[in-house]
Amino acid sequence: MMHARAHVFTLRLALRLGFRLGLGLGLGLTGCVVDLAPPAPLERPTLEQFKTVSPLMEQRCGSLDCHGSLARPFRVYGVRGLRFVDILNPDQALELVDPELVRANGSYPGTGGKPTSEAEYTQNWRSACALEPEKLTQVTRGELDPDALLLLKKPLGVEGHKGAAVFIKGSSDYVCITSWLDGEVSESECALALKNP
Amino acid sequence: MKRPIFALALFTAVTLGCDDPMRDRLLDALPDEAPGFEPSAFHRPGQPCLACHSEYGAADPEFSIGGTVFAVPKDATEAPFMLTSYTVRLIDAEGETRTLRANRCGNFFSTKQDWDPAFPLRAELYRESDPKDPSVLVQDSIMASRIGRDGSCASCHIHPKSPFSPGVVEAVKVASDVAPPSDCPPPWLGPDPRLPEITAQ
Repeated sequence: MMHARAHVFTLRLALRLGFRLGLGLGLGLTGCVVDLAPPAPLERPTLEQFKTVSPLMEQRCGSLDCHGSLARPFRVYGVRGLRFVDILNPDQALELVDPELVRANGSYPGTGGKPTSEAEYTQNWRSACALEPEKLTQVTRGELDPDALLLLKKPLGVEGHKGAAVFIKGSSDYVCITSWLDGEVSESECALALKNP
Repeated sequence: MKRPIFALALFTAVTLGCDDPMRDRLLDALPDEAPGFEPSAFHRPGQPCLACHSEYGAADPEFSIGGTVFAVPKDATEAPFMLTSYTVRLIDAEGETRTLRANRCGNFFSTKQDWDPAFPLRAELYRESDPKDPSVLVQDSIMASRIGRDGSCASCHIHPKSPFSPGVVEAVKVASDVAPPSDCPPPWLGPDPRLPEITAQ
């Protein structure tokens, strides 16, 4: 009799342990599973075409007291404002502490400073594209009006902007940026916009 | 029980809530008044005027624009010095123009009451070419970018030139015999208070 009871007890224990182990394994294996399917790829207007737009952004947005500042999340580099220093490059990083090197390299804003560099164009392009990447993708695909982007809403004065309205809809500034968003940058409109005082 | 908590929250909001750490850092970075010089139109050359002469800084009068004109010696070991006989011409976004003459310590300014410009501003620098007639002006230089919003020239124009600053407001065409002015406080020439202390190792 005792022997049979012991068998039943052992069986129950085994079942309990088996259940718990199965439950633990099940949760362990399925609980952390995430959908590893890659997100829809983001699209953005080209860097090459942006180089026509960048001088306008440098002039309109990138003065040292506005977006030409390290304190600003939307940061614009260039000859008219903040200069980009690649701190991972030992030769360039020294420009942060060596005024003579800054003079020699022309790594300062304004007259006498070196022209806007490729690295600065790239940084500005990233600033413009990274502002609202998902919306920019939709604009690039023609699924969304460019006016929905902060990149235009801020300078148009539609969205709160410390620098107030910088240009109006339909102006050469506006067309310069939207033509880039459309994938066919208008060099003539961008050149015209740069001539504005 | 609730009242003391509310009073404490209100006190904290009033005492701390309106502080601007960036502006406070700038104010802390500026030196005291130079010995022997009282606050006047000639004081604190090279300093960002609107740090104090603004609603936040509370110095009277409130400025809309203020700065100092400098000569920068070609020898980089020599310090920039203030220039007189220069005039700054500013054009605002609505086309309004003001000319501000640098005083004997190089300082120029406009009170907000006199002119509250619409930013951005275009800035041009002129030199007085005729010692007998200060109204005869010759263009010295034009600022490469626009002034976006900050009326203190020295918020951006800080000595020496760096990736973050074009250097002081510099007259380009300066006669070789011009000497630093006497009877002026020494100019403020940095360091750039916007940046953390970085030292070469």
